[in-house]
Amino acid sequence: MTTAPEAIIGEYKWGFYDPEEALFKANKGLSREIVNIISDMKGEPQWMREFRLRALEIFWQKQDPPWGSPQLKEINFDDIHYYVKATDRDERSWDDVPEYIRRTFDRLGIPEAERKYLAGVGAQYDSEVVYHNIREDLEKQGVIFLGTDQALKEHEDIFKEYFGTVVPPADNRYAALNSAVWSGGSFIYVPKGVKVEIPLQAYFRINTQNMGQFERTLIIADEGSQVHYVEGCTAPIYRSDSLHSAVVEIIVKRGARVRYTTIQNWSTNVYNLVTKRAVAYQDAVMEWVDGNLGSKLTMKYPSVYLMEPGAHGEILSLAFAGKGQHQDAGGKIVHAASNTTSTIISKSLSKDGGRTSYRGLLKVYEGCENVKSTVRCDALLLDEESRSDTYPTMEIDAPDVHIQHEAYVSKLGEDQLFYLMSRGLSEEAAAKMIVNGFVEPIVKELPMEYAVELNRLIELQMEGAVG
Amino acid sequence: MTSTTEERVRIAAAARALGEQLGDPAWLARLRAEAATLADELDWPDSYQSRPWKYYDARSIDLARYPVEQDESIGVEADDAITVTTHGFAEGATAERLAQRLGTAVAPGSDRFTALHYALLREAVIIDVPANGEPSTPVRIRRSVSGAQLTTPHTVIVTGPNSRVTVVEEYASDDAEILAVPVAEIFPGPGSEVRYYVVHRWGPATRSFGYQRMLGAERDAAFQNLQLVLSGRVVKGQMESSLIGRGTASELLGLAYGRGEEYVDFYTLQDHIGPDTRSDLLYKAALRDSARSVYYGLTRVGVEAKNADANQENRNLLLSKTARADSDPVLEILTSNVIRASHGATAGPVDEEQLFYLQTRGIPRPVAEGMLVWAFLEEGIGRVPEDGLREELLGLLEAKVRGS
Repeated sequence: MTTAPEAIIGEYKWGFYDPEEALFKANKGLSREIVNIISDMKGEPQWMREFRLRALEIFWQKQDPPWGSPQLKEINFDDIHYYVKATDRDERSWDDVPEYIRRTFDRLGIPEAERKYLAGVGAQYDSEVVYHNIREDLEKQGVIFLGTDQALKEHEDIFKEYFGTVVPPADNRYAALNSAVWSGGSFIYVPKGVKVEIPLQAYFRINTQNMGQFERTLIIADEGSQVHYVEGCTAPIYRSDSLHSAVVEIIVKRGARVRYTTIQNWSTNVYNLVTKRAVAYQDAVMEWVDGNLGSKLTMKYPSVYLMEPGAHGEILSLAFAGKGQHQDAGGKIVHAASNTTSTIISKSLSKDGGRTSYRGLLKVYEGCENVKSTVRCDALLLDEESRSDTYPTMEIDAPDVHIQHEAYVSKLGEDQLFYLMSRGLSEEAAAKMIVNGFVEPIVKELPMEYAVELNRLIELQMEGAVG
Repeated sequence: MTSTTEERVRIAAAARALGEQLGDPAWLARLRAEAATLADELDWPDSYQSRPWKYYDARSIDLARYPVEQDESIGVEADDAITVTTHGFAEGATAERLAQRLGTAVAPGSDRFTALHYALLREAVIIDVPANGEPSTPVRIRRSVSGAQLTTPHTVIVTGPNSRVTVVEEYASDDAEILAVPVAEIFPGPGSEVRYYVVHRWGPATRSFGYQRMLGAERDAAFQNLQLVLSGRVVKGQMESSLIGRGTASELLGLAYGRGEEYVDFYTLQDHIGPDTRSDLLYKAALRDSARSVYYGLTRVGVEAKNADANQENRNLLLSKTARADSDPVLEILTSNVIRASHGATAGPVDEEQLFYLQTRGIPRPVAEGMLVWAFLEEGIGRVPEDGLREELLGLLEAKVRGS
C-alpha cells in the first residue's frame, strides 16, 4: 500500500515525509473492537487487555479540564488511526532496518549521533519500536532497555509490578486514552547500584497521516542506580492534525538518580498532550529537563512526587511559542515527606502571536517538616502580539516549609539591545545574543549535541524577530 | 445543583416585598426583579469550573438558615464637603447619580451571591465627592449586624475631578449565624485619589462573601485599598481593579490574622486595560491554630495596555502545624509592551536566623517571635500614608494579635 500524502514541504525543517508503507493500519476511530485488535496483534496477556478496556471506559467518561485550552475541542477522536504497525520485527542491527525508515532516520542524523554518543537507540517510527541496540556492557550490567511492547513479553513480572502505578488510567482524560491504545515507547530497568554513564536515547516520530501516537514509557531505577534518558521528537508536517498523547512513568528508588531530557519539536499541527510523572523515594533525585519548541498545542506538566525523606525533585522547563502555537507547559512537585527539596525553573519565549503558559503545582502535605522549594518563572515576549501567562498553584498544608515563587515577564530590553548594538552588533545578532543568554540556564543542562541543536532551532525561530 | 423551588419562591417573594416596603423607584424595581430572577437561575459557583471557588464549596450554604429580614445599624461620619446618603433610594441629585451607577461596577449577574445581593438590597451608602473636594477627615462607615440573617451592605464611592477622599469602613456582627454579601463600587473621577480601608470584624459564625470593584475609567486616578481581616468564620472576597483610563493606578493591600478555624479567601484582579496603568498588590496572612488562607490573584495586561507596570505579592506566615496557605498568583500578559509584570509568593514559618539574631541580643525566644510576627503584619498597614489612621489600624491589629 503506497499513497503519497499531501505534504507541505519547505516551511518546516524536518517536514519531509515518506510514502506510507505501513504493514497494518487500524481503521480510524476508537472502539472496544479497535482496542481488542491492538491487544490481539500484540499477543498480550489477558490482564493487559482488561487494563486497556477498563481505560477506554474511563476515557469515555472523562472530560477535558475546565482550564484546558479551547483548542482541545478541535480534536476529532473519530478521525484518528489508533494503531499502525510499520514492520513485523524489532530490529537489532542498523543494516536490517527497512530502507525507507533508515532514510528518514538518516535525515534526522541518528546513525551519526549514535556513533558519537549513543549507548542504545530505541527509535519509534510510527507505533512500533523498529530498531534497538544496547551496548554490550550495559547488557552485562543487567540494564534492560527495550521497546515497551517487547518488555511486556520478555519481562512481564517486573513490568506488571510497576505499569500504571505512577499514572493510573483515571488520572486524566489523555492518560486514559493512552492506557487504552498505547503502543511503543521505551522500557528501562537499571539494577541496584548500576550507573549508566552515557545517555540512553530514543527518537519518536509520527509518520502516517492522522495517526495518533500513544507511546508509553516506563523507567525503573533501582536502589543507588543512575540513568539519563533523552527523548527527542520531530514529526513531518501534514495538512490535517495529529495527536500525540504519551504517558511516562518513572520510579526512582532509594538513593537513585534519574534525569529525563526531552526536546519536543513536533510540527505545528500536532496536539501534544502528555502525562509525565515520577515518584522519588529516600534520598533519590529526579530531574526533568523539558524543552518545548514545536506542536500546535502542548499541554505537559512533568511532575515529581517526593515520597520519602531526602528526596529531591528538579524541573527545568523551556518553551518557545511561535505563530499559532500554544505551549502550556510547566511542572508539578508534590512534597509528601519531610526533609524534601525541590526547584522549578521555567523560561518561556513568545513570538509572532505565540502563547506560552507556565502552569504549575507545588503541594506540601500536612505533617511534612523541613521542606524547601523554589519556583522561578521568566518569560520573554519578543513582540507586541505575543502572550505569556503564569499559573503557579501553591498548596501548603505544613508550617515548617520555605516556599518561594517568583515570576517576571519582560520584553526584549531596548537598553540591552542598544548596548550590544553600540558595540557593533547588528540588531538581529544582539537579539539572538539576549535570547541565548535568557535560555542558557536550561541549555547548559543538555547533552552537547542537544544543546547545539536547541540553539540552532531557537536561532531558526528567531529569524526575522527584529525589525 | 439549581436552587430548590422553596428557595426560589422565598427569594422572589422577599425581593418583591422588600421593593414595595422601601418604595423602589422604577429603575430599582427593575434591577431588583432582574436580580431575583438571576438568583433563581444561577447555581452556586462551581469549585471545579470556577477557579476563585476552588477551595470553597458554596453549595454547602443553606439559604434557609438565613432570614432575609435584616437588623443592621449603620453609622456614618463625614465632613460637610461631601454628600453621604444612606437610604439613597430616596430622591434628589444623589439618587439620580446612584441610579446611574448602582450595579454597573459589580453586576448582579456576576454570580449567585451578587444576584442575591441586588435582589435583597436594603440600603446603600453613597459617598459623593465634588470636583476638587478634599474632606479634612476620613469618612467613616460603621456597619453592625445582629441576629441570624442574610445581609447585603452596599457602598458606592463617586469622586469628582481632582478630588481626594479617604473612607474607612468597618463591618461587625454578633455571634449569630449570619451570611453577609457586601458590595463596594468605586468610581474615581479624573485625577482623583481614593483611599478605601475596610476592616472586617465579623462574629465567629459569620460567613462573608464580599465583592469590590474599582472602575478606573477616567485618567490618572489613584486607588488604594486595604482589607484588614481580624475575625469571621469565613471571609471571602473578590477585589477587582479595572485600569482603563490612561495613567490610572491601583494599590491593593490585604492583611489577615487568622486563628481557630477561621478561613480567609481572596481573589484579586489587576486588570490593565488602558495605557500607562500601574498596579501593586500585597496580600499577607499570618495563621495560627487551624486557620487557613487562600489567595488567588490574577494580573492581566491587555493588548492596549502599553507601558503597564504590575506587581503582585502574596506572603504567608505559618505559625502552627495545622495552619495552611494556598497561593496562586497568576499572570496573563498579552503584550510585550510592559514596563514590568512580576509576582512573588512565599510561605513559611518565622525565620530561624532572624530569631537567632534577636536571641543573641538578649531577647527571649517567645518575645522575639512576637516581634517578627508583628513586623510581618506591620508592612501592609505601613503603606497607609495618614499617620493617625495608620496608628489606629495598627492598634486594631495589635489588639487582635495580643488577644490570641
